[in-house]
Amino acid sequence: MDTLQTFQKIETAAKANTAKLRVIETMAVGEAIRQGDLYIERVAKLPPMKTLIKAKTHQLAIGTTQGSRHIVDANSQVEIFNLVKNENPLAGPLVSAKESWLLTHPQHGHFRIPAGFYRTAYQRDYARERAEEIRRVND
Amino acid sequence: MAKKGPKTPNQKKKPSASKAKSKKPSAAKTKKTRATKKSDTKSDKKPAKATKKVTTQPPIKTKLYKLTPEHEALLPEYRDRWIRNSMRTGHLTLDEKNSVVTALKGLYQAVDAKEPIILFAPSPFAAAFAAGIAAGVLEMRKYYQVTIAPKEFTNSFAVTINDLVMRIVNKTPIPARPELVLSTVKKESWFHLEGKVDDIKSIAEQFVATQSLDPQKASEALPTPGECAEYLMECVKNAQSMNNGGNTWSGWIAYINFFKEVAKLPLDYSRWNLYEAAAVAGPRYMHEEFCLVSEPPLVLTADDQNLPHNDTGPFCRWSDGSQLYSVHNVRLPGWILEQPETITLEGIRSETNAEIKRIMREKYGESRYLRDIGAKVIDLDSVPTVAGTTEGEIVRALMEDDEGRRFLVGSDGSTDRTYYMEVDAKIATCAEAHQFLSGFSEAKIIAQS
Repeated sequence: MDTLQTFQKIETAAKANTAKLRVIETMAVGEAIRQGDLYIERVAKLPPMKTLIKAKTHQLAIGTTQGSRHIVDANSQVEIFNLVKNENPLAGPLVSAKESWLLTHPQHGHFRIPAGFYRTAYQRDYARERAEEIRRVND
Repeated sequence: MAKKGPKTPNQKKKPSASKAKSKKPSAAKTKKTRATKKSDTKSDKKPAKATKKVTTQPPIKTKLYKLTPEHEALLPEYRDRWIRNSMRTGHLTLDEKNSVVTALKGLYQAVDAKEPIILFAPSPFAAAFAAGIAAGVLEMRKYYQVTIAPKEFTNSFAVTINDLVMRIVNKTPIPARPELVLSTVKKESWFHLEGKVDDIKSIAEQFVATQSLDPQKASEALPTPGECAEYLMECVKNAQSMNNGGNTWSGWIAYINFFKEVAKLPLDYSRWNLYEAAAVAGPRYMHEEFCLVSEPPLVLTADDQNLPHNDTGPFCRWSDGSQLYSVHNVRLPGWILEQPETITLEGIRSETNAEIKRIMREKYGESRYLRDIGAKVIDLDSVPTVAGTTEGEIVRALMEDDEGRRFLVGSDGSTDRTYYMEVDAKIATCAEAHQFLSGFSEAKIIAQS
């Protein structure tokens, strides 16, 4: 398949996409979902509480752009934490949910996620000329 | 001429600015300053010992300071305060200018330098250019009688610089209202000096050596007007040697300010306080005869990591129209952001800076770029939006451009957007590319949107 045909195929499939709510009934430890550039992985437990600080926002990605508005619905019973010392620019907040919770986004489909502990991570923005640098993608 | 005549600011054995110039502050520098003061009065080759003999300084406790949890909790407050100072925009108020002038006079006095002429410039560029020329003219005057053939300038930026230079070389006192006439804001890139060299050169060309003041050089030929101008241009290039970052060095100031106010180290901070007070203003150029202080910019934008950033225009703009462009800390010419429609494939190929080239590619459109160069398809596949279902499909391709860069091209599963994400050139499949970008094995991802 040549370049133009490949582009056509990708774009045709993209146009058929819909941003509908996806309800995840079960999610095993180690499994993950992706919403835009944000990944949410279920983990067995959170790191020790002394290494965490309670987040002041329900937004799981820093920023003011529309793309960064991965927000836990206000009605969801969750606690969100940040690592006190986070040296990994791709590591996001941690979520503790006693019941299923709703992750929203103005462009991407929402997710209903089961209760449990979760870690979040961002997609990497890579470029050959700064290959050593770990930088989060700007959605 | 520069080699045999007067020295440019950074050539002098005793640079004019060196006495008064405050370099990047640090604890070590503070200690050295005290030691130097002492060695001025007594020949002591061990400044550390001399420091202990200064009776005006309180004794330094030998106990090392340790960061306590209470002090650590205050770090964010100090961080944020000094980030605000470095990101400050808008003109200095008259009160602020007056306190900066008082602080600078104090700094000169602290090193026994005479009171300088202090002027405010609308931008660091205007300050640097004017400081370089003025320093050169003052140096030339030690050797030659220099006459001025004033020129008329229509370019507002040149008018501003010329005005500053003339105020200094004619020893104009500080005006009652030190604000300069603000020039029209022009959409122009000042990242490069190119394009304005002629203006600066015209200002330099006004100064002509007409008579040697040095008996030993009286028999030598006077420098030609061209040589004088060339020398002054050399001084402009070296003006950075007189530079102090002002509020743009807030990172250093934050550090010492924290130790002063929170750790309360038993030191004499009286001179430091002057330095701190002067850091409200922008970068300054400190010469023994004058000090040119830049106003803060009118516009200053940054990304979420506080890196200089504006994707569509200047991230930093001063009142004289000087402006800088940066995308996530990559400095680039303004036309790439303001006239992206003029970017061509040839222009992208000929750009030698890889980061700028990448931004040009993005502005050109990754899709258009990959199509136009006829990128090679390395791998093509599709994955379901929800594992184990046929609910939706994400079609992806791994493509390689004419420079061997590889890109994962695909949609997100919920919008009609197509993404182009560079990956390591060794990657051979779409799945590997996604794993490279996400850090997750695709087998673990059960749903995407």
